[in-house]
Amino acid sequence: MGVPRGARDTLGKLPEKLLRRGKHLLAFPLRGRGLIFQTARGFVFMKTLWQLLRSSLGRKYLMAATGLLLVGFVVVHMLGNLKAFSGADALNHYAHLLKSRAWALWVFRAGLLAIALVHVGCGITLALENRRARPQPYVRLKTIQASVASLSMLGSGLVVGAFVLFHVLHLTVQVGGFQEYAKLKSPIADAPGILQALAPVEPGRSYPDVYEMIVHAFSVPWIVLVYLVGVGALGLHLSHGFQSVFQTLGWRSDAAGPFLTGLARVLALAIVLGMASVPAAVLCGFLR
Amino acid sequence: MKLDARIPAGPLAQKWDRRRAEMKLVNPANKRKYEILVVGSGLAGASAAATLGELGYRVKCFCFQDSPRRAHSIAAQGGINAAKNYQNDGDSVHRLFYDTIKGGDFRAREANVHRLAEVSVNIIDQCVAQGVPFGREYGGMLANRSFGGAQVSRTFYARGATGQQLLIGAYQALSRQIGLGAVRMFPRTEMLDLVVVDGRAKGIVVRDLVSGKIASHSADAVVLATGGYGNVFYLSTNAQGCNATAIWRAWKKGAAFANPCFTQIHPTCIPVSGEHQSKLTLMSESLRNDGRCWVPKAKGDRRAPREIPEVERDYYLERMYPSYGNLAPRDISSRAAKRVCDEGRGVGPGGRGVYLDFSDAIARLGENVVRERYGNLFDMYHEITAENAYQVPMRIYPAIHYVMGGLWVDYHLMSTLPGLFVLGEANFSDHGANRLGASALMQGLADGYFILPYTIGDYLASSGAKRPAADAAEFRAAEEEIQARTKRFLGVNGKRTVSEFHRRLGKILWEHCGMARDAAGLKKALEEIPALRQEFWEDVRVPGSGDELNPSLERAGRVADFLELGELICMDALAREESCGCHFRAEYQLEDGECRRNDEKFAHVAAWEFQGDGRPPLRHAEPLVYEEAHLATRSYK
Amino acid sequence: MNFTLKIWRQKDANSVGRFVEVSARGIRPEMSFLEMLDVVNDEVTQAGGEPVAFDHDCREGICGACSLVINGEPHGPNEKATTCQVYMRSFRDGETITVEPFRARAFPVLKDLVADRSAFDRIIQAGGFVSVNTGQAPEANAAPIGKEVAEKAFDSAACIGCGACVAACKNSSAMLFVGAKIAHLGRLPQGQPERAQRARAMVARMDAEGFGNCTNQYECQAVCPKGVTVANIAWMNRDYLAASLKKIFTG
Repeated sequence: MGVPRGARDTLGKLPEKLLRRGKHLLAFPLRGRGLIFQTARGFVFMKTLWQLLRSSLGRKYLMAATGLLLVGFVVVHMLGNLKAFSGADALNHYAHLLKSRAWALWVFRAGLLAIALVHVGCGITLALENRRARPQPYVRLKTIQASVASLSMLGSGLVVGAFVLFHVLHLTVQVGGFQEYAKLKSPIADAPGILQALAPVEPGRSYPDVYEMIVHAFSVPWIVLVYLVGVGALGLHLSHGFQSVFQTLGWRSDAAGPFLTGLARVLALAIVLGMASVPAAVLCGFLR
Repeated sequence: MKLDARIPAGPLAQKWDRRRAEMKLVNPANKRKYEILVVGSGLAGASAAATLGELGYRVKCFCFQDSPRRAHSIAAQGGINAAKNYQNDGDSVHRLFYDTIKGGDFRAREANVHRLAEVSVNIIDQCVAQGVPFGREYGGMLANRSFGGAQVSRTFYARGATGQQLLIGAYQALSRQIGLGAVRMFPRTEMLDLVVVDGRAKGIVVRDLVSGKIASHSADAVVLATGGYGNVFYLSTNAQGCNATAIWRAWKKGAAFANPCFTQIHPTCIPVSGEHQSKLTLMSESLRNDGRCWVPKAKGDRRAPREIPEVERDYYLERMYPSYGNLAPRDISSRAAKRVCDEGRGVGPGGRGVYLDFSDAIARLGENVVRERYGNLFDMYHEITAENAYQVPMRIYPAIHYVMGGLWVDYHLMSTLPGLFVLGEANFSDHGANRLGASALMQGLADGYFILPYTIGDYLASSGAKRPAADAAEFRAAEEEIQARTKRFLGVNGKRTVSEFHRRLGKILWEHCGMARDAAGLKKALEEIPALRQEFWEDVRVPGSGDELNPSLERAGRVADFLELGELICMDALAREESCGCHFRAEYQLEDGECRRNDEKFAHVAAWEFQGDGRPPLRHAEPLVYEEAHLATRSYK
Repeated sequence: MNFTLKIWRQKDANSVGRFVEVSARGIRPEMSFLEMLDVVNDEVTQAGGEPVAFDHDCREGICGACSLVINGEPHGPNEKATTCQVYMRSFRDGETITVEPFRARAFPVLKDLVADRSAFDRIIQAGGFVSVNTGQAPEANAAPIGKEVAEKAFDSAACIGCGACVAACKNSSAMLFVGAKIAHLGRLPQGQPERAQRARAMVARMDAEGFGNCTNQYECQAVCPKGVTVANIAWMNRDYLAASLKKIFTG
């Protein structure tokens, strides 16, 4: 099956028995790609998986799946943000919960990063292939019905990426002038409930004051502007990306199409409003 | 020249079985030693190439289009006949056979037609298995519609694109063989000559239409499935590329040309709108299932169709042919349309048109049902005319559509040149003097899937694998001749374009050898055509060079052949002193304007033999013996 | 009517092309776009020039040969129509009309407006068929197929292989074409035995031909002269995923 002759020879030297029992797995890190391909009898799947992931559609599935997970993250993140409207204690207690198990936080962060990298990596390789697929451009190619969002996925994605980087440096890593935020601490009032059950707080002890941090952060107009642009780009990206998930994974019919397009727009709008509400509310003085 | 049709002995219904039992076979291991060239990739060519590849022969397939999927079979709209009798309405192999013989006005070979009817049922099975999405009933069974010239519903269809779907089925079968390496495909390659070695067809010379390179291919047998020559009339429903070059070259190498004057005129086409027009568009005959043809009763009635009251309309087909009505065969419907237009009752610009009216069907069935049945045809009509046929009746007029004539073949589909097989519309076929609707697809696929694969094996088994080298003297000579001809085209450097000559030829033929012909007109055409041909060679302008993609050069070659073929068509029409089917000689008609056949003198196939340039061709006759069908005056009244 | 045509001229596949302006005079509104080009070509020929090469054949919208990008739209301004079905009444008198070939790496230009679309044939050769030899077929009515299934299969099979989907796609993706064939055969009982293999083989060939990747903008559907919809792409996505997973886990 398209195996280089050399690899076949290497294989010939392996004891037959070993092959048949599939114990060759032990040897596989040492033997390289040729072996993975050749031991097809036991593990066709390595080759098929590789084919799948390398194919145009395989990478689109990855885009869709990772995109969907990222949407899930964004929705949870947004719901968390909205706790700001329930007062400082609610938000700070929620933040305390997230940080209460450091290992879980880091596993989560690593996973999220991996998902994001796969999403971006697939997106960029696919986009580069798309460029190459038309070396001689049209002098004129009309756009008949494609939405602005669908045409600007790469751009909106890159803006979101840059914004996420800014956001992490700003509020998570708190670099440069934002180091001040780390010093903001205050006690959290002990309110019985699920938060207290999962991550109890001790009365009198000081915890990072996230509420105060966002009030500080979003009192600066240019920062709010950056956030609004970032969140806007995210909304644009999602309004196409979310309905794309259904098409790419094959769950979209002609009849369901308009519904899914509408659903994606509603979701994108909800996320934009939810995400923008906190910085906007701070800037306008509703949250203080 | 001896015309031996090799019709098997025995009762009609057993001839094909008997012959199949007698035929020699090539054993599977030997099949790969034989090389077969298939020219053309339409229904006949693609099905033959695919089937021969499946059998294990080495096959090369050629088409001038950029892909085999574009062959003109794709444009057939209405359907394909088969004697399945799924409708339980009295159909049978014998009835399909008889309808076809009668539809052809008793000018087809009985044994061939019966075999066609026999294998028609296998075609449907094969196509369904390939995934052709035929129309179905709610219960999941195949649906049928009725078609002209039949009183049973035996036509299978895939909306208004049956030819497309059948061709895609054959194309996919062919593609599978190409993928497997059994067939080598040569798209954008045009056959320019046939090579005959020791009296047998042994190869072809082709031009690569992109690079202009001339190349030879030698083989054990050559199969021509290159379609019809309707474009000789310039305006026809054929595709722009349809041409006679392959069969014309074969004729000049010794294959007999049968019944060239049998050119079918289709009654339901969109009328001509002006000088500039490059083709006429057919509206499927299936429209006549629900549409009613009419013209105003009064001459020169210029009122809008809806303003003409029912009593002032002449539903002329229903009046003249009450039992078949709007489903009268094509030749009869076409002539009826011509007759009412000649009386000055035609509609539309120039008075060359009749109405095809769906208002009754829409009232009876609702617009949705009509849309479901014919939606794509109505859309097409709208594209071209900018008229909405749901609201105003369509305007239609007859146009050249199909040719029953073609290279003469025997029962084995082999021409008078041993080793040269001819399939589909390119042969003189099973349709006699008039083809019934939905029979062309049937014939093309029957030839390619179920007949040639048997008969070619018989030929190969008896002739043995003896291919000449592709650089043998005969090939080199043919190549040189083509090079010289190309040079000649490019060297004339005259003032007129190829298309102008084509248009003028078409006018001569349409006027004198179209729906009605007479001796005086034909003689006139026989003077005009050679003169036009001479003018062509003196004044044509073919730009560009021979070693590049050059559509003008391609067309020049085709039109040069048409200019010769046109003459043969008129000679044949002049020699056939009777009216039959599509061939209507004004001198030979009954009092009511119907065909007056002359069975005593003309119950035969006319096969013309080439005698050399500048010498009149020789007319041979293959008598048609009717064992089963009785020669009768065709009546659809 | 009079027009100025801005036409792409290119000597052959290896040459660099450029736009040339040609004027079309005395054009009648009921002429088709290709008939207008015929008229222009005849005039060019008579004037001693070389006519513009373009692909065309049936001129009734079914063969799929014609392939022009007119004013930035593959097959021109009419909805659900091929280039040959575009009539001059759709243009303004005096307009400048830009005419380009279909452009994609997988569709190299051979000359002027003629593009080589044989990549489509190779995709079909990879798996776009039902493997049934002549003579093997069972009786046609042996397997009933619901009317709705047959109709949907027809909708997918209506593709004429013109390549407008690739031409209109910002990414030169062939997924509408490939999806239509996978869906056509995948919907029918006859297509089931090879369904998984077909999806994998056709997608692999499509990728190897150098087409781009779908970004779900649906421009293909908007220009398809036969109304083939992007649900066919969704079908392909589903079939390919299922086929790959099946192959991975069951071998």
